[in-house]
Amino acid sequence: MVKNFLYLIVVVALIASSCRSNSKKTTGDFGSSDSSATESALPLDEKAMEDLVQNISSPVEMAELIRSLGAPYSQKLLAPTGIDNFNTSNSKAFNLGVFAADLGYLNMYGKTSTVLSYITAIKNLADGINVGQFFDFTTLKRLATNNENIDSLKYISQHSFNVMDEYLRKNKRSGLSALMVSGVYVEGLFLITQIAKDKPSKKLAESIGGQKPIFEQLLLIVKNYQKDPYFANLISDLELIKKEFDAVKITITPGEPKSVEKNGRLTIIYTSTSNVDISDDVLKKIINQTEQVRNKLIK
Amino acid sequence: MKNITLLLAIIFLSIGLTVKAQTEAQKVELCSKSAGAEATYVKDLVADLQAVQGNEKIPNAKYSLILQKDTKYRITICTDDDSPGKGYVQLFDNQTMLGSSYNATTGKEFRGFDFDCQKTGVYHFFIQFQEGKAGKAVVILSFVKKL
Repeated sequence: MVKNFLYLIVVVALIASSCRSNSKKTTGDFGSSDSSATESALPLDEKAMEDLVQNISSPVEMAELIRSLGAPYSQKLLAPTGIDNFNTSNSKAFNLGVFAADLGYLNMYGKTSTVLSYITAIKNLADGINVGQFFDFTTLKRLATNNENIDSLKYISQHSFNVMDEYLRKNKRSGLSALMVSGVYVEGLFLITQIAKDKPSKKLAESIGGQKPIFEQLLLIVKNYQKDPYFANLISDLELIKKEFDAVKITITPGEPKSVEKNGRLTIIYTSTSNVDISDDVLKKIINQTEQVRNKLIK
Repeated sequence: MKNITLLLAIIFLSIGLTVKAQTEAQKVELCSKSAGAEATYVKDLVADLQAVQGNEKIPNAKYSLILQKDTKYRITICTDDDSPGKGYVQLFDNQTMLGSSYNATTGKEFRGFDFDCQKTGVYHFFIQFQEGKAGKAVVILSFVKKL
């Protein structure tokens, strides 16, 4: 009995130690040469990056912004799936973000028939950077195929994206996380600028101009990995858009928070406002530059 | 006998790991649902903190997120059932506290709060536990509508 018990302890210890060494291995093995190069000698350490990368842009928020504008659904805006030339971890991570933004757009319009090709593309790219286990493909496929519960589809899509992103950041692969987030952001910016091109409005122009501080934050993040050639190219592309954003003027009117309690729910109204000044000419330049950069990056 | 022990050990460990993983995911999903049908899940923020030691500052979990102008967000906190301390969340813009789900002076608690954001920028979320107790909680950031 004692012998069996000791045997059990040894087995448990072995399994536990293999789990630990697997998770260590995760960092080294999962990052292919192109991504692992990005993790060495970063100007900002991993913890600082972890703080910075949080919620630069979520597929949900971009899609909700588009829906709030009352723009009709347009399939031609979406990045094409079925392209098989994403050969590096970096290009896979970036395009995973692009497709995640498109999935958010599709979910928002309830286009479940088209969703399937996007969740398949995301699953393939996620497997390619070894985070496919966090993407609940089976449930998403069932929900999309049966045209079931759009709310669950939206929730699982967004949650899967967050879990993949968090896993990458916590396992010293924040470069890939930065690329995923960049993909979401560039695609989201592309979608709203294309809508502005077809259906211009003052509100939309201000929403686009209001992206300036977020864009600057994103650029700060990707510049942390500029030694990597993929990032260097991405940065030079994003700098082209930034150059146009530089002409947008944002002023802050200070204000105070006000608390309002109604029916047991507390609402904080923050009266500090950002005011966006963007000319038609600048808007046009941002639209054109975003289109060029995005179309180059998804190839 | 050895084989049975080995098998039991593997099953025991596998079940343990699976249940833990499911529990974390289920907690996030349940909390997200409690935010209401009109709220769309954006992000979950997890806190798993030790009790305060002596005269030290109350431990907190800090998250910095970008929130967008003209957007109503909902911030919901769910404390684990077996958590010793009750969690609360505070929202800051730089050094200015904008809101809290708990008022330590009056003792009033909320499940969270809505935030009408008029300025795009980085905001800071702090999760703490009342009286500096140890605790586990999840905070859900949801999108409600464009203002």
